[in-house]
Amino acid sequence: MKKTQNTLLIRYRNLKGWVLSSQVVVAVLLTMVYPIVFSLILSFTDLKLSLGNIKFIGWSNYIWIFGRDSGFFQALLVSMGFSAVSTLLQTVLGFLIAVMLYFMSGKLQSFFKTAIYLPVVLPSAVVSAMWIMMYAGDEFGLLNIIFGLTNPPFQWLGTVSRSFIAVVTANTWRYLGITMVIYFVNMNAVSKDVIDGAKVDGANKFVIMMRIIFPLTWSATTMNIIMSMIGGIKSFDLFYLFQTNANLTYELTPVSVLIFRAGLGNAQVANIRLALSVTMSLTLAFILMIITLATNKLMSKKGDE
Amino acid sequence: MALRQYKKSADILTKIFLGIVLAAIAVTVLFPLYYVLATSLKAYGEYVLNPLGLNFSKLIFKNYAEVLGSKNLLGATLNSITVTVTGVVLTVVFSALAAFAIGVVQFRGSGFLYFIAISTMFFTGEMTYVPMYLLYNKLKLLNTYGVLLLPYLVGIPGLGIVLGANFIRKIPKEIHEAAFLEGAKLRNVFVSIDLRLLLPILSVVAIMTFQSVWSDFFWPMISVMGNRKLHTLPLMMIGFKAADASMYGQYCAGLTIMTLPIVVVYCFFSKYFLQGMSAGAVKG
Repeated sequence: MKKTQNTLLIRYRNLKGWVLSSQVVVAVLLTMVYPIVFSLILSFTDLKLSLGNIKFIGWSNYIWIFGRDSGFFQALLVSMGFSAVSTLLQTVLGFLIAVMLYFMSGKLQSFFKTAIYLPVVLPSAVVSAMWIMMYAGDEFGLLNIIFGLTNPPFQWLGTVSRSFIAVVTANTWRYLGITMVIYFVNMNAVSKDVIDGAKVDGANKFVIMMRIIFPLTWSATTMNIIMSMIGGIKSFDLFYLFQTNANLTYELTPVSVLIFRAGLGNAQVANIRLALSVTMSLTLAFILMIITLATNKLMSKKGDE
Repeated sequence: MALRQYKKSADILTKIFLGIVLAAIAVTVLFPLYYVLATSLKAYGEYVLNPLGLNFSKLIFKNYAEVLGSKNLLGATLNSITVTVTGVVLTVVFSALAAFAIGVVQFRGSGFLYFIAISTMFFTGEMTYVPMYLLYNKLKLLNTYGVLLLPYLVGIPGLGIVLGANFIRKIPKEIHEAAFLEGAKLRNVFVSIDLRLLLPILSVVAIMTFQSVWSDFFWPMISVMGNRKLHTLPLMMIGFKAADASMYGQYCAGLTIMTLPIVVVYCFFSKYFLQGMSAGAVKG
């Protein structure tokens, strides 16, 4: 193997290596192996938050989840719908903004890039607070002030569909920078000769964008779609904070929030069955894994053609 | 240069158009931030009269004084600083050690460890929180300072390993070879060669860790909700609802205190942020 060629003269290499990375070993065991294995075991028990006696109850938790009154499927639908719309928006807008940046240059380019990426680094508590103030349904709601809708104040979170659009908008505002930067980095890796050649041949910017840049940054599209999709399905912060601080309708409860509310998020109810929360977590992790693998396979095939 | 001639007026027009569109987007993106900052600097009366604008002669810092004067928020700020500093220091140290072990020492099993570190990207705290909660509960650590800090002692320095090990492998191996042939000790090589070379990578790790620890509300919410003294800034802010508009000034002051450190660091080191993000993306 190629490793042996590069080997340096280090005495007791294996021992020293493991000692140096012992923290990683402990971390992997404690924060990865233990939770996964323990979750698997717990998912077959009736563990309650009150931590009384634990019984093994077979597949009951799984059967309950896939039954009607668990709300799991409704929540999964919310997560997936949210994920699909957000992914579409982020990918299309991210691409367009990256192209615009690409055709600019110098200081302005880096200013816009830095500005549009800024929300990505903000704490989610701040992002949700800002948008709750934007959507506030009284005469101090920012959007109501801007659009002059103070009399009577418009209820931006008044219906389910409005609330859905509201959360998607806030989420897109927050994460657009990531898709944009990934596209931007990939665009700059496209050889300038190709684009200059097209320009000489008389191609305009739109043609260059659609026929050259878009196909040549396909790997960025793949990465963006996978990332936004997974991020969307796992999405927790905004939904949860909107529900607790802005009365976002409970019809818009995504899986991650359902999992939390079925477990510690509802700590007042001591007889709540923690095992159900764990089982849903595992199921969600499994679904995510399948989706990632499937998307990766689908998109890479298309890229080969 | 035919290309030069082809450009010119049409090109300038497109550039102006692009500039306007991008400026509009940038304004939309930055507006909520401006609003929070502006509101935090206004008295309530001024806010009611002029909720969007900013009258420079009427700026006040009273909201900040009041917010920081209340014990709760000052304590939360100090907690946040302690947790963040601990998290950053531990993560950077463990990243450096692990990157050195995997990249330079290349012991048997290092490839496997590298693979595991990458695959951690798949799990988030929200998925493994119940077992971790049960563990800390058993150890009677819930609602103590330890439970806020321990996750960083036993956190997997995934980003550091991926960035660091890859970086070290690209260094010409003669540098290390020469050092070892002359009988240098592992410790000395680490300190005087690799730690220096890894400095830019460790900066990326530090900044990304700073951002994520400073912003995290989920783990504190799970682990120290019952002890008000241990609340961090994000945990405190999510529990704080501005009851009516008269509280907006203080509320926004709190939000600004939480946002400012990140924005300042971001403005100086935005390159590192972008680098860390794209590396994180490649991992995922």
